[in-house]
Amino acid sequence: MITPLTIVTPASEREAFEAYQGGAGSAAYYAGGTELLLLMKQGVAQHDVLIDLKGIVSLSGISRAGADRVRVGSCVKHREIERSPLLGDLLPLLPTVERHVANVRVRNAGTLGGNLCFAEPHSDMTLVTLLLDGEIGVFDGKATRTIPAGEFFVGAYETAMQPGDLLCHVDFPVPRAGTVFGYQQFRLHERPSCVVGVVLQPTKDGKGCRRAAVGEGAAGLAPRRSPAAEALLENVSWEEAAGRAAEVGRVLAEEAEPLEDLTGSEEYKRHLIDVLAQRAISETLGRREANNA
Amino acid sequence: MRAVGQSVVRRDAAEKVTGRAVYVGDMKLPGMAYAKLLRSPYARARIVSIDTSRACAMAGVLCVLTSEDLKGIDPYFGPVLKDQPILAAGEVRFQGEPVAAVAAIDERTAAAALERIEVVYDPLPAVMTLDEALAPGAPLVHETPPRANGMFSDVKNLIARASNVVHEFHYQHGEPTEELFQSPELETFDDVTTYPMIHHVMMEPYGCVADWQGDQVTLHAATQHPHPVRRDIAQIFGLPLSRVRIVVPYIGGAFGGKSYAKVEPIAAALSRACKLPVRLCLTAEEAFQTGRKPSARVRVRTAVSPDGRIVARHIEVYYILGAYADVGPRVTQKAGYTALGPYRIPNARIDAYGVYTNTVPAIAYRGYGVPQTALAYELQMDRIARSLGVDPIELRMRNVLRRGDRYTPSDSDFDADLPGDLAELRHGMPERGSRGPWTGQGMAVTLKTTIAPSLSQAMVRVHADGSASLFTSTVEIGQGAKTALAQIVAETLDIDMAKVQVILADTALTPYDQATSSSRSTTLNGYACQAAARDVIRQLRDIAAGSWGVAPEAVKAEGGIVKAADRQMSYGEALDSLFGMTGAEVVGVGTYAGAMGNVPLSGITPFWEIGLVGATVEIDHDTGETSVHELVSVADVGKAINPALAEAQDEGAVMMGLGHALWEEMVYADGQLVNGNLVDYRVARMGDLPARLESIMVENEDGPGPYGAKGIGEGATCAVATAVAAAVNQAAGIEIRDLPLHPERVWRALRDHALTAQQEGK
Repeated sequence: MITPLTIVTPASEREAFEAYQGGAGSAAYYAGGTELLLLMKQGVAQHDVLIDLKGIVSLSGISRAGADRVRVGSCVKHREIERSPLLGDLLPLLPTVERHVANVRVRNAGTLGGNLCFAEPHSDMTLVTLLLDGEIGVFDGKATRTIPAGEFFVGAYETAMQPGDLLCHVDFPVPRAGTVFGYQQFRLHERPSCVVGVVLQPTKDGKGCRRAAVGEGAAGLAPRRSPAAEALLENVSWEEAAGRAAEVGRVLAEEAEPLEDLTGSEEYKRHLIDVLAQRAISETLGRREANNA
Repeated sequence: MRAVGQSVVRRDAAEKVTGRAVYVGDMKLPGMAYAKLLRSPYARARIVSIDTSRACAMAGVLCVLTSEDLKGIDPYFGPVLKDQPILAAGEVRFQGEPVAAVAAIDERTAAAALERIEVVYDPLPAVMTLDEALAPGAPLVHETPPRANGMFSDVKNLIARASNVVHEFHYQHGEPTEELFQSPELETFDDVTTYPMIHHVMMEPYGCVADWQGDQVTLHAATQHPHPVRRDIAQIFGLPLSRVRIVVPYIGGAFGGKSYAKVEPIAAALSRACKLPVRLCLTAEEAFQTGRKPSARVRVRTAVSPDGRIVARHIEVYYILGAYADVGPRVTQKAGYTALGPYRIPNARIDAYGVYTNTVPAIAYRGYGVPQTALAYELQMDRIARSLGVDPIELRMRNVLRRGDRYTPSDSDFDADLPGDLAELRHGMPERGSRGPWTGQGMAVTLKTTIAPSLSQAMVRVHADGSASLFTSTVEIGQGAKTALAQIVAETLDIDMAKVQVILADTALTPYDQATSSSRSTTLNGYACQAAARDVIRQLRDIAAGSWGVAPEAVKAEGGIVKAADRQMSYGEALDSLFGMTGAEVVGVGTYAGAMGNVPLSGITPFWEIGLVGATVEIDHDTGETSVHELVSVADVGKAINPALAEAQDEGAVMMGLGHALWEEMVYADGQLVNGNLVDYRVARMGDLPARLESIMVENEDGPGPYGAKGIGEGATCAVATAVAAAVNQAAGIEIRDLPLHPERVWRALRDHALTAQQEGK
């Protein structure tokens, strides 16, 4: 049951930060509320002050940031990402995965920034941000610093942010034309139990893969990429990449640290990661063929 | 017919879709207090002490109750055994058991007060599983044998000894000897299945507003059983029945879970103590701690002749009933009794046991124990079919009961056309020639009795203008009773449906009805409603006959008019003619009273409810995930009073069963229920709807209800999960015998199967 509280509505990042400092340790930022309010209802979290970030204009919107980046404001809702033509063109992995995040009611309220801050182990967007080399802009009251996604997700419900830090935006580098992706979920409940994502960037001549991003999430405490699996898919022809799917699956499954829960044992989840990795690679290569057709 | 057989729009449709329908949670009485319950954190513990002083001292707290405060009343309830304390006394027997109750000026204050109640527990070893409960020297869930309630005349063999086995039911006919099962001329099959704990997940959790005024109490309660709850409250507080009033508003789903007293005794005790109306509405999480379906372990041995006829069957059923018996003993004997399946079996033996454990009490649940046993006998029928090389439907055709057969030699005649129903299924779900390698089809046919003996009364008033009001204690739980009963009365009185008002479930106004349960309302309560309407017609004919000086037999009632030869008058005019002035009414009463008899269950079942479902599934052999492509249900309804509502009930039953098949299972770890919430507990959702879901209505007009209606709504629930499991087994050549068909469970079965095949190959 949520106890009485005050909601403040700052107009700027600085005002928000000040409200946080003034909350004497009992304040929390909130945007969509789809995670925080559930915890508060259950009594797991208690806050006397909620700082509603949705009125801060600089935290909204999806736009190009220079020639090779797209900036997504932290208060952009899942549903906006899902339906963004710009992202559909430049970073189609984002809207494709968003289509499968939770349910449409959650997507209409929950935000990208809130999702990343919360770092729920079963989040899809944490893994996607990691795979796309997202750069996370964080305001600490004085300046905005950038944390690479690879350093951002520390553990379950744990990020590299400090108390009071405000997540402002995520910058996504626009991948080279012809980049293809695959994303596979194993999902019994609202949140997936296992996910594997693959992003492959082509070589200049388009005949093979130059750079790969391969990672798994939801099964363990935090999403993780696998440099070993990525190395298997880099600087190889598409045919070679296809031939290495089984090996990628094996490497990813071995490296993973899945946790047993009601959706499956550690052994089963390891097996699922293997299966999903192979399927994600075949989905990725299938997309490439469809693009070329 | 002008009303019956028409798919008229349900009467509560507009209210419900516009949010105007009133549920208990919407009610607000002047001065109403809000209640919260403190629950046990342990599966089993001795209560050393409870200190409520800090909670009592809080501003806004009106009263705090523990078992110590209930000394002046009989603080135990339970429909079969009075074994459940209103608030735990001396010992807690499951995690989540109410220990103390608070009423305060608002819910937040009540919740804060709970945190200031200090309970000291001495944890005791608990029995969480069947094996633990049956182990020699196991701790006893109840150390002294509980008292009987006396509500059911048919429950016998209650165990009056200290044991975790609370009830047994045994039955035998023919000579099901060991010799027969070992006979070289017969093939014997022996299987064990397990069925998990499942929660109802009704959209509206439990709720009650109790309003104690002087020496009487009114309860606005979300219950399927207003009259039995009235009886419980009267007994607990020592009141005459006439001073206990149960009013039932709309109910947001029940599925058996709102049978008999649940939160009502606590709400009444709180209202009595603080002399104010008290609202006790549970959360969804608390509903998980209030009741569940009995889990089960079932062993079935069947001896079959080479031509595929069942010669003997021995079934051994253990229902795991949790910490309090609730209706568990009745489930044990009723579903135990039908556990042989809908087959002709010359030599049969049944041993059924109900067992206490330190888990959430098992209560009534749509299907009343049948799905648990059907899983065993129907999966085995498939194994028999495979072993003999016979088509599964054909094997059933050879063995199913025929109309007029006796399920057991001393029972009533069987009233359905099962070969016809099976033919409908075969027709409705043709075998796919082009099935993929991981696709399979399965089916299940099940048998259920309805509650017996069975009693309903109804009253119809015909008003001065010829319109009518029906008074009956059926509860509108979403099944559409309010609409279907209006159709029956309108049809019988032969007046427009718009002229029929229906007043349901207020024990101060509406006549006795045993229960809205067991698929009985439209059929058996409907019978009483029809009889009441006929009583009115008889009286109107008598009035007209007296007025015209003709014999009553010469008077006909049609279209709201009584007529004889060339004379006629409206129902209203007939009333006026009797009294010489306008305004007065006639009141008709009707009763359905099912008979007791010399049958194994004492009460003769008024009808046999059939479940018959076919399923087509595809499994992902890498992950073990099951996709259900097709579900076809054959509903043997006798007569569909409202075809759209009948179909909706059957479809709802199918979708509910899909959850049982694939996902639903309450999981305990270290004495704690770990997934008792709507995030971690997975039911079937609209997105899980198979590509094809069909409900085939069979209307042979062979039921005991009005116009030949039979009970429906539970049948498909009994068969779906087993049909899906059978389809999965067929798709993969595996032998899964436990629910749910969790992906990991299927994956492991596939892996084991592949390993075995590999080893046999070498």
